[in-house]
Amino acid sequence: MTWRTVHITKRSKLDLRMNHLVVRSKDHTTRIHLSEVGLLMIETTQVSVTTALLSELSKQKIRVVICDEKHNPISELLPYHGCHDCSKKIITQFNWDDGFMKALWSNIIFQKIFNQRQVLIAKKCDKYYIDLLSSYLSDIALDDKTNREGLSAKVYFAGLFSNEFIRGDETVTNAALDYGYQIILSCFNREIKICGYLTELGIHHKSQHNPFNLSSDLMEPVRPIVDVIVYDNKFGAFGKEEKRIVQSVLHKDVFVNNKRQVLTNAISIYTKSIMDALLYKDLTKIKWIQYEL
Amino acid sequence: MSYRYMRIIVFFDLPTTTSSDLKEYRKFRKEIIRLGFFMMQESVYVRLALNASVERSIIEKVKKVKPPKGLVQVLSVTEKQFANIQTLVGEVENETLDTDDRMVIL
Repeated sequence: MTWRTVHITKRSKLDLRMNHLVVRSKDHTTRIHLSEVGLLMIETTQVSVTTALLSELSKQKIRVVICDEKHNPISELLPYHGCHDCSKKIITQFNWDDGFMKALWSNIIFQKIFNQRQVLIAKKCDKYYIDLLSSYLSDIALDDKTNREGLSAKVYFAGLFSNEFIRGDETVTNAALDYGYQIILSCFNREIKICGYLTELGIHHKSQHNPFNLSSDLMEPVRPIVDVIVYDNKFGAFGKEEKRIVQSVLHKDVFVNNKRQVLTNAISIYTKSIMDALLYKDLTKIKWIQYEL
Repeated sequence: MSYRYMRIIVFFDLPTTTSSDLKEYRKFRKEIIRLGFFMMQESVYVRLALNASVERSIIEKVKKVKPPKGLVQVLSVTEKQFANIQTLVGEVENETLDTDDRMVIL
């Protein structure tokens, strides 16, 4: 199990030596054993990386995220072959049962709205919004046909931030949320790849422009964890320091299968359990992520 | 997963008289560095392990690369015990990251 997140923020050279990631900057050299690295986040464009390192990082399934000149994640490294029987997995993925996917989607939405409601309760928001979410929870249709998800998101953000808050506006809060979601999304991308499935082929998200449809589906119930961090910190601006605070979401303690885990590991367990559920058409196999607020 | 950090310390004394002895020595040293050990001082190498089960699996891996001759010993202690180490003379120099931080910023 990997446990470190390594952030590269200075001009440096990264290479591979004896199974170690070697980070050489002007005045300092650091070596980190690859078995300890879970995520390598390259936050500046002033870094050179060797291909030997890149291929070894892919082999050991270490997530690599590259940022643009504004330090926003822009790309990531995903291995061609996440596991030994990808081809078989992909064939099963194309044949996932339609009815079951619909049932799964309504379950995912239930978890999402449930978690959103937990956030509102924990943050002592207006009871009006909490009650609305409760009513939405009780009438989620199969495949969320009545779009309770969209409605609840509207109510939830209004309740959590303010009535004037609009998701999609260019505000600091939105930037922070987007950043947090992006990091969670890249976690899911990696886990889905490791399980051997395609991220493009979603269960509900079917956008032709989104290469991460499946990841977007699975991450829904986890989004509120990011919201809480953004809410708690009340960022005035969104710079380097703030990004670091949002990133710390990956090391937050959550519960999965009644065991305490850090979020990255929890996502791994949750993703595998969903894939099992889809394979065996059995909703009880899913290990939902629970969190205290 | 529980995090009860441990330290694995490998002590070794290997014969260095013939060139094949030296070859075995170099091979062993490289292998344990590859496993994530770093030099604490000459012939004493150390590695951080996440918990007891990781610790056992690493020791198994060391066993697989052990040299044919010489003396090699392994000792595991908890991170707390290891942190109590006192340096009487000299200074510790090390490039390998050996803290238990989850988030490393370089």
